[in-house]
Amino acid sequence: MACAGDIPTKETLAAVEILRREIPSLKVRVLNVVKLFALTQPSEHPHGLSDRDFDSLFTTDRPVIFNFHGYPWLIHRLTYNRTNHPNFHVRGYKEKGNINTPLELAMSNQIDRFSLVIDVIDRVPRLGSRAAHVKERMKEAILANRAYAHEHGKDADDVTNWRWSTGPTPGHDGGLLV
Amino acid sequence: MAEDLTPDQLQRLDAWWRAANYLAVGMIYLQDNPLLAEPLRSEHIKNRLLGHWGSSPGQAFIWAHANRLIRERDLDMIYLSGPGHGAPGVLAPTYLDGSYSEIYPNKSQDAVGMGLFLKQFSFPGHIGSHCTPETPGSIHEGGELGYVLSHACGAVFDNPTLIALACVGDGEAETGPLATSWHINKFLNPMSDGAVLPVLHLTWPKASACGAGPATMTAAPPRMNRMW
Repeated sequence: MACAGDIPTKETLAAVEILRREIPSLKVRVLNVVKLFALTQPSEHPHGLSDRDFDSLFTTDRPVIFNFHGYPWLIHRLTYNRTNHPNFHVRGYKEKGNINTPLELAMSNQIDRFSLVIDVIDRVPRLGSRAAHVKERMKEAILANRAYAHEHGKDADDVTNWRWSTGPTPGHDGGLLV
Repeated sequence: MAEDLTPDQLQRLDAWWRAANYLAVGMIYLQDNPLLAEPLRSEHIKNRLLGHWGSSPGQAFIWAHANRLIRERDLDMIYLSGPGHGAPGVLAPTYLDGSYSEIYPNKSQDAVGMGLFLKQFSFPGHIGSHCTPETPGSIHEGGELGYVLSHACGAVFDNPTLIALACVGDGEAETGPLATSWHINKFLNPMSDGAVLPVLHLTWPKASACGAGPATMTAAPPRMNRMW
C-alpha cells in the first residue's frame, strides 16, 4: 500500500486499519513516498532509487496499490521500467469533483479507504471470494457515507476525526518505511 | 430615469430587492429555519459556506431594474451572470418570480419549499454556486470566468429582438478572454442581430484574492472607470 499526498496517505492508513481488523492474516506494507522522483531511475533524477532499493521496498512480485493525489498515470510514467511495475495499480484524481465533502471527493475518485480495501481484495489472489463479505460491507459504507454527506453537508465525525490507532503488529512489517 | 419612478414603484423595487437579498444570505448560510421563525442556532448554519455574498446583491439589483425595464417597454431580454459564486443573486430572483417552483415543484413558495431551496445551494449532492445547468433558463454557468460577453453575443446573433444583459465580474474582467470580448460590438450587425448590454459589477473584495485587495477594474482611477 503506497501513498503520496496528505489525504491519500490518511485514506491509505485508514484502509490498512480496516484490513488488519477484517483480514488479520494479510501481510500489508505501507510505503509513504515523500519525494516522487525517488520512483524513477537514478540515471534520470538524483532522487531516483536504485533498482535494488526499489525492489526491496516495492518487492518484485506483490500487488502494489498506489494512492496518489494527482493524475494516476504520472506514477506509471515514473515506474514504467521497474521490476514490479506490472503489479502496480494506481489510484488518483480522475476529474471527479463537484460540491463535495472531503471523503465524498475521495470516494468519487476511488482514493478513499473503502475503495482501497476493495482494490486489495480484488488484487490479492488468495482473497477473492473469501473476502467477498468485506467487499460488500465496503460498498455499503461508501453508500452510507455519501448519503450522510448529502443530508448533513459534512462527513461523519468518525471519518473527520479519524486517527491512526494501531501500532505495528507482530508478524507484520507495517509502519512507514520511506 | 430615477425621476420617472413614483415613490410606490421605488418602494416596491426596494422591497423586491431586499427579499432577494434575504434569500441570497439564506442560500449561503442556512440549512434550516429558513424564515428565522425561531432564534438562530448554530445547527441551522451550513457546515460549508461556498457562495459569494459580494457578487449577489449587485446582481439581484441589476435583475430588479432589468425586470422594471422589461415591464415598462415589453422587452425580450435574457440575463447572463458572470461573477463567480454569485448564483444566489440570480437564483433568488428566479424563486421570487415563481419560475423555480414551476420547474422544481418541491421548492415551493412556502416555508418547507423555501427551506429546501436554501439548503440545496452549494450543498453536497445538490446544486453548485454558479448558474449551473439546473438553473431555470441558464445558458451560461458563470464563475468559470471570462466568457460572459462572448456568450451574450452568441445569444443575440440572428436574434434581432433579443437584448442580452451580461453582468461582468470585475475579477473575470481581468482575464484575457473577457478583456478581448469588449470588442464584441464589432461583430454585431444591428440589422440582423440583437443587442448586448454589458454591466460591469465592481465588487471591492474578490473571492479569489483571499481578501488581499480589489480587482484592477475596481481599483482603477475614476477617469479610467469612466471609459467603461
